[in-house]
Amino acid sequence: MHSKTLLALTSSALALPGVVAVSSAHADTPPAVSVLSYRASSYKEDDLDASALLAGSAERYDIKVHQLRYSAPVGEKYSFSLDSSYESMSGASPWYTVESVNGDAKVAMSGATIYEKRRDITASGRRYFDSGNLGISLTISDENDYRSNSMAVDGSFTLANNSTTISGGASYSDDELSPTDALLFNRIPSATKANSSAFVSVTQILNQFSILQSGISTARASGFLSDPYKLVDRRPEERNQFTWTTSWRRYFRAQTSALHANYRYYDDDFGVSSHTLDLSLHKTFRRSITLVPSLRYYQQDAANFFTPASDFLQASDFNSADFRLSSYGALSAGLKLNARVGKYTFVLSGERYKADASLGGSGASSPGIIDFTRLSAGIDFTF
Amino acid sequence: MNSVVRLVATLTLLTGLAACEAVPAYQRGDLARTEMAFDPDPLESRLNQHIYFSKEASTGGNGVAAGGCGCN
Amino acid sequence: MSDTRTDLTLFDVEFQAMGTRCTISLYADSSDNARSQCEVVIADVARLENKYSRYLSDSFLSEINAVAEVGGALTVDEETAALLDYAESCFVESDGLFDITSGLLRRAWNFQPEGQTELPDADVLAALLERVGWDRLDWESPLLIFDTPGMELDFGGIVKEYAADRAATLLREAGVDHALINLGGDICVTGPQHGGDPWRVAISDPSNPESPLRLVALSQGALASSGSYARCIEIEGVKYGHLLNPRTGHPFIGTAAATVLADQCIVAGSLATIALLKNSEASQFLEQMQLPFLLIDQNRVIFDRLDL
Repeated sequence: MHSKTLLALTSSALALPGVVAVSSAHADTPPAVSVLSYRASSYKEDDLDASALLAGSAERYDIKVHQLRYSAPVGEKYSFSLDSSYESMSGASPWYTVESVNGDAKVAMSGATIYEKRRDITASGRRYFDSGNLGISLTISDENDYRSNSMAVDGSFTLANNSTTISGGASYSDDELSPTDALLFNRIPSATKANSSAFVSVTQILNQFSILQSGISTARASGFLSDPYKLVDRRPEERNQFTWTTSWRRYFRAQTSALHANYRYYDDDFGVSSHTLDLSLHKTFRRSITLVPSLRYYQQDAANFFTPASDFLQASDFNSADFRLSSYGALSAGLKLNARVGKYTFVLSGERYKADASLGGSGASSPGIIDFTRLSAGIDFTF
Repeated sequence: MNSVVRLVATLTLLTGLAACEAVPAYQRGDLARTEMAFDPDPLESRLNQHIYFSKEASTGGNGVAAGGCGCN
Repeated sequence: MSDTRTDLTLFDVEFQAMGTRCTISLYADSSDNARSQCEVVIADVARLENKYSRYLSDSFLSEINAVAEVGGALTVDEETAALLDYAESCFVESDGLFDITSGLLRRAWNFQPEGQTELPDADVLAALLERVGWDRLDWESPLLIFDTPGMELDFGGIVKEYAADRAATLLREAGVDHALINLGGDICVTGPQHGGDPWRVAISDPSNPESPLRLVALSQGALASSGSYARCIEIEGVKYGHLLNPRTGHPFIGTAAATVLADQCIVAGSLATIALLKNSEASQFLEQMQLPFLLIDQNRVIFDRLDL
């Protein structure tokens, strides 16, 4: 294994005009350094507007997340990473939605405050070849009423022109639901669902300062896809999803800034289609401080079987009043600050997400859509 | 609508393969900057994907999918 | 292509640049053709000398140092920016020992023969050290900011090696695949000799430069050396080599020399220099690089790791 010093000096030397790598093949190599990162985040949903509330508490979820990540090269050809997170949440969630006398929909919230915990861990390994790499990862996510085991493989290959990289991958997850108080509320006592997905993408170096990535993916979910906690909620047992994503990066040398633009088109056979656009500017000051303002725009159509008020009569085969299947749009703005001090990088970031039915696409909207605020702080240690 | 988008997506993939100006290794210093990475902060993007997944109907499009959770 | 021809002779094209004797060895059918193939390299080495020499008052380096003298900021071109990035990597990777701002310390030490018979005044050294240190300046590519006035940059430890790497690329681009470039000991080859044999480079015994210590075979990549033998002074019976430690402002006691083989001449050269600046940890540092090297440490112990 070559030393970190040699790798660092060689990569700086190769940035000099007229200094080239001796071997003609551009070998794909693992990252030169190990990184240990920790983040603490809190995101809080805004309280529901009192006028939209029928019963229960207006207070929504307040969620705390701790994340830990370790990634390291292993020899000259391999890398390894471990990701874990611990999430605790408290609050109330929508139970059912009814139409009030004047025609407005109103939300009934679950009465008691819900406390939940979630833990997940992902272990990934990657092997590097002369012109590509191959990775595998295993994830376990565990809650008191939900467990998911998943596996993913992906790889990428750089073409002989050294400017184009083709990537692809597939994943499978096997999920098990066991809703709490199933007998008491006549909920399904246990159910399963499975998710499989595949993607392919192309990354192209456009010129000295810009790079473009475009890819498509499909995913299929099957099994119990309804929300077991909603009083009335019945969805098809299969959902086929498609996305097309394009990402662009451009570096502005005079401004020491990198501009990121990402667009995603999504549609599925529930009838939902959506557009997501996000922009961020990574501006570096004095080589050690990076400020990242960002903006995100999201818009979705409602699912075919979405009803603004819960369909207690079960008039149609499928129905759901879940706001997540309604027509709405959201704007969010974020700001992040990274400060590097020697081997440590301190990170502070925040995001404000505002959802609005008037920004939505086609279909009916819901009174239950929510706004939230996220705040994160953390530290990275590179060695 | 959907079939049109799929066609555009496929065409973009194909035209991406078309030759662009070759950038020699010594001019790739700016492209190699950490702030130019497609995912410069894996922890934050992981959390954001999880939050958006729990709030929105759409998911996917960020490489291989992460594992499921009971939040949606 | 020249590769398929058998009527080629090895020529040495010599020229003087960067204060040293330079040689390009290559195969050609005539001395004139050999020389004309080297013109592009000779011109490029001259260009780099005119741009980065600290002895030429109209060089870009002198322009930088004029700003460094009074404090302030200036914008540098892409090539200089890459060199400053490289110098920064060297500073970081050597824990501050390899420092292109340390040339200022030469004002307190005179390494010319019979230059100095006593140690410099401690106050003079302390005052100079306050203006030495890569971390005292702000390098915000392409903006170079000198917050501390009175500093000075010196690319002496990297530009000649960089010129050798560029020479190899220029010759290879011109289809010259069997050449050896030697810029005063900084050596790059574009490939093996015509016929496939490696080049044989002699590493001389630093205490007796006329006698070769070791022959090393080179088919690709580069070789560079660093040593404190060439210029050293003796004060009160103690020998000091001319490499200065930017932390203490003092040269190292004793003399040592290192030769390193690497893909790039600039990397070989800075690793050799960093090793010597590490003093007693030189052999340990070079072992970690896992590159072929030859080290004669300050105790005259020879570490021969050329046949890795």
